[in-house]
This record gives sequence, structure tokens and C-alpha cells, in this order.
Amino acid sequence: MSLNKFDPQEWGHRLDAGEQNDPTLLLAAQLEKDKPGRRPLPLRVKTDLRHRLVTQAAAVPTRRLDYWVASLALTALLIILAALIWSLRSENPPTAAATQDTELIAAVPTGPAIPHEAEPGEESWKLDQIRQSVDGNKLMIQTTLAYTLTAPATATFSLGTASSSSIAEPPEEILGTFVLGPEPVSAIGNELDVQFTVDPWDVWQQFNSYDLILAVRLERETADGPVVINLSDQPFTLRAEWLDQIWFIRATPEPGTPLDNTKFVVVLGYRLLSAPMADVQLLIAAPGWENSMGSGRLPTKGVSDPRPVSRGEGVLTFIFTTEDAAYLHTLLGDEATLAVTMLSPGEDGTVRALIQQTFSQYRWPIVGADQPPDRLWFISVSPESGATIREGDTIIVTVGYELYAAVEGSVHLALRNAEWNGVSPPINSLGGQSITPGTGQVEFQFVVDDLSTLQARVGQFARLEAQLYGMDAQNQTQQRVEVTLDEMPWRLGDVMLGIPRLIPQVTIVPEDGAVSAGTRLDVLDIQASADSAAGMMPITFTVRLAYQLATRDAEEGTIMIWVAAAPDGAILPLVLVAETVRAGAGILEATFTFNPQRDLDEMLRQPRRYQLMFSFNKVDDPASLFWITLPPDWEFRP
Amino acid sequence: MVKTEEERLVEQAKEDPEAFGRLYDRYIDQIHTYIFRQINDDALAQDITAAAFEKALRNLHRYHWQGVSFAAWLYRIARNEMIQRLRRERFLAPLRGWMLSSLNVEKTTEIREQQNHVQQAIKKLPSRDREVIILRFYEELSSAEVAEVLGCSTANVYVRLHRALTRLRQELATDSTTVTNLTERENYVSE
Repeated sequence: MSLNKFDPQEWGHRLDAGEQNDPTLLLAAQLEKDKPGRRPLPLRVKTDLRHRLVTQAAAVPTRRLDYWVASLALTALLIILAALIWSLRSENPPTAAATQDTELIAAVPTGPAIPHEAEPGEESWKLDQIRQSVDGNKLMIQTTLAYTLTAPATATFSLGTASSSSIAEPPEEILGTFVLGPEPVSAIGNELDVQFTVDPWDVWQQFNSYDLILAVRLERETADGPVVINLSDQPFTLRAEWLDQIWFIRATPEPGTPLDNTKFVVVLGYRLLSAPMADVQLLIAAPGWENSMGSGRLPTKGVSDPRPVSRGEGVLTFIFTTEDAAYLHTLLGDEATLAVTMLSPGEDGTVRALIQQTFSQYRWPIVGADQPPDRLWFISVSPESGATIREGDTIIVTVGYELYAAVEGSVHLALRNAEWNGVSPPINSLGGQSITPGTGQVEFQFVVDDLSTLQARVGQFARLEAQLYGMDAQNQTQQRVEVTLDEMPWRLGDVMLGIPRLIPQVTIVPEDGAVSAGTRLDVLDIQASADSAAGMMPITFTVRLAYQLATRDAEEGTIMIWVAAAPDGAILPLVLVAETVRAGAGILEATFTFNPQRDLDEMLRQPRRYQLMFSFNKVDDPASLFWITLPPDWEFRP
Repeated sequence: MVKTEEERLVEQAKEDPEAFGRLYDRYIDQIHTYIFRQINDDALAQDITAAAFEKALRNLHRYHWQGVSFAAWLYRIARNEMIQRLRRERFLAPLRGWMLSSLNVEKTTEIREQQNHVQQAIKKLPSRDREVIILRFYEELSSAEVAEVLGCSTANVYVRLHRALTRLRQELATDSTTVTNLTERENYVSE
């Protein structure tokens, strides 16, 4: 094998060509060859989803039209509102005229830079400011450069991109090159204003994944060649907020009013320039909140519905109800503020956050009501306490809860063996549901499908349990609050576990056309009983069969009773009964015990469903006659 | 340039709901299988599949055929959706123990029986390795399509695939019975 350096391109081309001449390619070929089958969606789910999607698709053109009509109407309304607000309020929103003025967005922290081999005072440059203004859909970056020159120099303004998580050299785009002064300049404080126009789409597009670095690079020719001085030592990040803005106009209750259970009305102004459309969403948050939506630290009720906006400026009024004060206090602490997000769908379907900001200057004190303990209780249980339940029974449980110490939660139900003597009683999970914090109730409806995990005997009792889980607001990871109901008085009595519900006097007639007319095997009766002990119990069967062997070419036949795995009917290598019968009619009664611990090896002994199968064949010819498989409701689990 | 049948169907789907339905029929099981293979959770896989197709429908007008197949575009949406949902689901991790304690062994055993050793070994790989193997070999995407889904270069896909396959071989090597055939074939190849 060659030890040459790995060449991904060369290896990749061999992979794509289907070559198999090295171990990894060989493994690749095997993976392609032995790939597992697809896992289709359940048909009902698939059909429902298709219907929903196709219906949605049909509604899109109309919705778009409605949307634009609504947008036009809204725009007209907003213009009127904006005019009113302009005339009534002293705190005016930015206007188109204002946005065309430059606004200071940052001062670049550069000290005087002394070129190579230059004496202090002889030459220095300093980049004072970067300003931006918005003109239509363009972002203009304006720099002010103060310099002292004794010789002509070239200034290069570079706009580069760099991934915040990458150590790679950022690619640069040179926005402009300028010669500073045709003649030597010595006056300190000369200013050079340079304006660049950047397509906001580029800026915005990069914003999601990258930071932008704006740097000024100065070059000066010396006897040794060009000397380069980078005036921006610190990465300078352009943010989309400079293009898109949301500002607070007013709110009811007014900032400073203690919050209680109340309706919030908030009026915001917005400007969207970096994308054609976006959704604006407002939420109650702790001052200083910076997390993104869905981080799990946000209130679930104190969030407005998303409001679609299109490119331009406008005013939005949000009306929504806050959480309970107690819950808000748990969530946010002593004060609440407003946070806003402006999200826009990207080309590839991902959502990009154009704005995530809090209005921390506007705050509402939260009256710290005593936080009640989290609670969980059963409201109703069906069937009633004490009833007998079996696999296949439907159980409906309604659980009430109060959850304040968490921002997300869920309730889970389980059955537990109530008569277990050791530690960790066996449990049977019944399922769980997510809940909204606060006070509420949740209903469970489930079918009991597997009681064997309780390892209980006939007549023993099981207890219903509910557990409440929540994630604490102060811990995003895995903090949980747990409440377990230890003594739920609902007990499961007279549980029949492991016993097949066998129906006596059922006759099964084989329908195999290959069997000689008149040959039949009828299962007349099956009785079964579990013997003892927790865990996998031996089951003793008593079976009565009526048979009639009518073949002319055999004087004797063999009736065998097997154990098969349900529901697929795969036959396990275990014959429980093998009886030879003579031609003609007769009754065969057999009593036998199936003991998984004894009869099956470990792999086959895992708790699972079984069924009995019957074979009837001519002696020495196992394939000669027929098999009988019992109906599904005759399956059993030891 | 002559449009492919699928390209025409995608263009048609932007106007005709039933055409989107045909795209749905074509890819629904594929996408669902991909998601299920990554997260091994039926209910969650169904949710994510539905969300991915809804997102695809909403953004279909943005999709333009520029050398990237529609399938790769769909996989990318599904992947993004899956990542977002899994971030949220991390919160539920503490529940897993409680749930698992009550799962009967039957289910585990059945799953184990259904999977061959190679698939079990793939499940043990880091998610980055598992993902690239599933996309390239099980989902039958080309290397260029995998690059599109993962948002990286084709060369990077090759590097990741090579690394993943090397790790998979190491994983399989712990099960000597599984690799017997492979080893024999490798010996044959190297001779």
C-alpha cells in the first residue's frame, strides 16, 4: 500500500467512479450495496400531510394577493398614523430625511500610527470615525481620516469578511484606493472624507454567518519598498441593525408601572431595508436579554404573534397578554423589559435574524408574588380506581398542574408495580406530553399495551404515577424540577398478566387445498394458567384437539404443537408436543408447560409475544400436511 | 439548455399545487428516512419531516435551478430543521433515562436484531461522520449534492468521508466476525 500523502480530490474521484481498490473504498462499496431499506411515513400521516401541503400551496397565490392588498391598506394607515404621531409626540421616530444624514456608528479605536522609519511627528495617520447613512437600499460607509503627511501616500480602504469561528485569513474586498495629497501635507488634522456604497444585500448576506471587518490600510512608498500600516487594529463588525431598525414609541402600561396579569399594548416603529420581507415579534424579556428565539429562556405567553412587514418603514401595534406575575418573576427576576426580533427567511429556507434587541431603557418592575410550589394532581382517571385493567384496555387520565419554576415542562405517566419488594420497582411508561408553564391540565389517553414489564403476578396491583418535569429559567441545559405522586390511590387490581385470553370451543379448520379432503385438525379448547413467580412465568397449557387423518397413503400422522414468535409467526426451534395418531378421527388432549427460562436460549427469551402453532403431518414427512396458526388475540406473553 | 423532467416539475410546482404534491410523493419517504436515521425517533422524525416540507413549500419560489438538485435543496432544509429541533430537544434529555428504564427489552432486542453490525457501528460514530456517510451512501446523494446539503466544498466532503470511513473500519474491527469478509476481500484486492 502506498504511503503517499492523502489527496482528497484524487480519492474522491475514485470513490465517485466506484473504485474499490483501497480499504475505505471497499467499505464504501459495501455500504452502498447493503444500505438499509427506506422507512416510509405511516400512510395516514403521509396522506394527511400531503393534503395539508397541497391545500396550502393552492392558497398561496390568493394569500399573496391578500397580503399585498392588506399591506397597501396598512401602509396608507401607517402613513396617517405616522403623521399624527409626528405632530403629537416630541419623541419623533427617524424619518426619511433623517436617515439620509450620516449617523455616527462607531469610532475606530486607532491611535496615531507612525510609519516605518519615520520620526514621531513627521508623519502620522489616524482614522477617527466610521459613519453610516442609509440612502434607499444602499448602505454608505463614510470614514474620516486625520493625517499628517510629509510624503504622498496611498490609502486603501478594505472591506473584508471573516468567520468568527475561523482562524483563516479573511478575504478582503478593496473598496477604494486613494492618494492622499499630491504634495506633502504637514498640517495636523487634515480630514479626508470618503464614502463607499455597499450593496446591503451583500452586507446582510454576510451578516448571518460572518463578521465584517472594515479596515483602513495605508501604504507609503519608501526606499525599501511600500510600507503598509493597518489603522484598524480591532475587528470592526458591521451589523444589519444599521440598516434595519426598530424603535420604541409607547406602551400600555407605561414603563415603570408594576406588572401584574395584564394586557400589553406596545407601539413600535420599524425600518426594514436589508430584506424584502420579515417577521417582527415582540416579547417580554429580562433586561439584557440577548438570546435567540427558542432558546428556552423566554416566556411562552408573553410573546406576540409574528407580524409580517415588507421593505420600508412603518408602525406596528402589538397587543398581547403577559404571563402570571409569579411566573414572570421566576422567569425574569425583578424587572421586565421588551425584546424584539426581526426574522427574515433566507434563500435556502433558513431563518436569519436581522434584529434581536432589548429596549432595556424601558422597564417594568415585577411584583414578586410568593411563588407557589409546583404541583401535580390527578383530576380524573378512567377506569376508576380499583378496576381491572388488561392489555388492550383504554385508560383516560386528566392531570392538573401548576408549574412556575420552569419555562418549559412536560408531564409523564407511568404504571409501577406496587407490590415489589426490592428497590426500583418495575415501571411501564405510558407516555408524556409537553405543557405550557402556569396553571393548566393535560389529558392522556392511551392503550395499555405491555404489562409484562411490571413483572407482576396475577392479582397483584400496580400504581399510576405522574411526573412533572421542567427546565429552570436560569439553567438552559438540563436543570429539572421533578414532582412525583407517591401515593396515588388508584390501583390496578386483578391484573391478568401473561395468560393468553384463550377462547374455548373455537374450531379452526385449515383451508389448505393441498390437504386431502377430510383431513382436518380442530382446536377445540385451550386452557392456560400461569404458575408462579415474578418475571417470566412458565405457562401450563391444556389443549384439546379433534383430528381426522384421511390420507390414503399414510397410516399414521404426527401432530405437533410449537411455539412461534408473534406477530410475525417466525417459528422458534421448540416443539412442546409431538404425538403420533393413527389414520381416522380422534381426540388428542395434551397438557404441557412452556417455560421460557428453560426452553429458550437467552436471545429468544427476551419478553415478547408468542403464539402456539400446530402442525399435522404424515410420519417422516414433515412438509406433507398443514400448519395452523392461531388468531392474533390468542397471542400470549409469559 | 434542456430542462430535466424534475426541473420542469419544480417550476410547475411553483404554480400548481398538484405538481408540488408529485414532488412530495417523490421525496417524502426519502426525507423521512434520512431524518429517522439521524435521530432514531419516530414521532420526532415525523414532525421534522412535516416541518421541512412546509418550509420547502413556503420557499419554493426562492428555489432556482443552478446546478444544485432539488433533492439536495430539500435535504438541506430538512437538515436545518433537524438541527433546530434537536437543539430544542436537548432539554428533554434528562427524561430519557426515566423513559428508557421503562422500555421493555423487547424493543431494544428487536431493533438490535433488525440492524446488522455495520449499521450498529455507524450509530457509534460521531454525528458528523454518521451524517456524511448516511447522506452519501444511504441517501444516494452525489458528493456534490452532499456538499450542497452540508454547506461545504466537495473537497471537504471527500475529506470528511475518508475520515468517517476510516473510523467506521476501526469500529468494525472490534467485531472480528463482521470484518472477516471484508478482510478477505481486502486481501484479495491487495494481492
